[in-house]
Amino acid sequence: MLKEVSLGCLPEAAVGDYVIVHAGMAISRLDEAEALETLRMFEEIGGLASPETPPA
Amino acid sequence: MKFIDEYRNAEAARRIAETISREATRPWTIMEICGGQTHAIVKHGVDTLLPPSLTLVHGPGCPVCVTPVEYIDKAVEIAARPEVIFCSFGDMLRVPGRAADLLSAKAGGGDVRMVYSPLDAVRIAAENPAREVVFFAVGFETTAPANAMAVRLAAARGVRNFSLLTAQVLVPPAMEAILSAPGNRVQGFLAAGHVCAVMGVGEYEPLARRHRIPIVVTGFEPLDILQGIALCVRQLEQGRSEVENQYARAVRREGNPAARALLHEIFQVIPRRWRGIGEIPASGLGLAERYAAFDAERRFGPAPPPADEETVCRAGSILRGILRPYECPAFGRACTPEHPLGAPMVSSEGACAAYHRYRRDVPERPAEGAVARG
Repeated sequence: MLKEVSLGCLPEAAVGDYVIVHAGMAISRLDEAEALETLRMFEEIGGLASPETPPA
Repeated sequence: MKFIDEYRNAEAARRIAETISREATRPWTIMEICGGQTHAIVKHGVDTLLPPSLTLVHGPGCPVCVTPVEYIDKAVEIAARPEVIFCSFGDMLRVPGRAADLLSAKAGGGDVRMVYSPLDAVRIAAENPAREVVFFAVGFETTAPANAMAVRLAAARGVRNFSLLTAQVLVPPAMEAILSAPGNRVQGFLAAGHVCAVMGVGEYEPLARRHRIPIVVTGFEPLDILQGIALCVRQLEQGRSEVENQYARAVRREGNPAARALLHEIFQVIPRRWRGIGEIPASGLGLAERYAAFDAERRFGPAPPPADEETVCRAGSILRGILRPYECPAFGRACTPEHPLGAPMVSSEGACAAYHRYRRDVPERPAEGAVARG
């Protein structure tokens, strides 16, 4: 699927970024470090082992 | 897909749900604001993982559901004019007005076009200088930047045959109205992540303080929602009422400064009627005086006065979290996605459409009168 999206509200977006688009406007850039931090928090809150631990 | 699959892990979901069950020692009622979250909850069965003491109620965050009926009527009237190309998001076309919907206006010969973005409508206007192109600007803070950008572009390019029929709404005043209503039972909120991606989190802090209610800015994947619930329950159990950000990968504290500046330039805050809920002060956006030339109501006359809608549909109670969709006497009988009586059955973000589409376990219909809990 190919869609034209305005970066008028997200001038800092660069090639390779993931952005959230609403009604043809990019409104937010996904922050990779924060995304990984959220995944780490899932493990913490769910009491899971760290991702480095190989599956049993 | 990156940034999506990791947030749908079933084993992680079960573990977070177990944590919630362990930590919730009392019954709590939490409202998710956004219709996108409602759909994710029902689609993935997030609520079925939760302990029975925890109640999720679905909020008013469905743009087409809360668009006032007089604006649907006005849209139908404008769309029937021969000089007009009426552009709208697809969801709006089947929302019933008092007499008709936009699809029937199209069937009657109106030039009604479904577009993906208001920016497409500006392009259509530039390509059809002899026609009047009207875009139906509905939605929350998430669609407002696109609508504002359309007006800015039309102004900059001298596209004078473009206008907006504006019914934009704002989330925090609706949360205030829900919390202030008699019989409110919401004790914690999952705030709408994408609204906050635009507006930031600052405007929720006075709400949390004043009503002593935890507000967790939450994303849209199943694990996001479960974590939002877990953080909310933890706050409730500990007696805290803070604004927390579960969705930090998309939401910065200050939101999107360029989008906020654009909204400030193009729009002004006005009172707005919400379908099924009523007027909420300072809960809408209208075009700023400077851009009034792009206001479809100035070109084609104001929307008709509001009037009570007499229908068996209980959309208002559903949008305020008082009733669940299956507790409406019309749900699945007189009202279906094919023949909707109310907007929540139409929209991809409406709670009724979500229950109708995904639920196989709707309980037996309770006796009339036994359902009003609000």
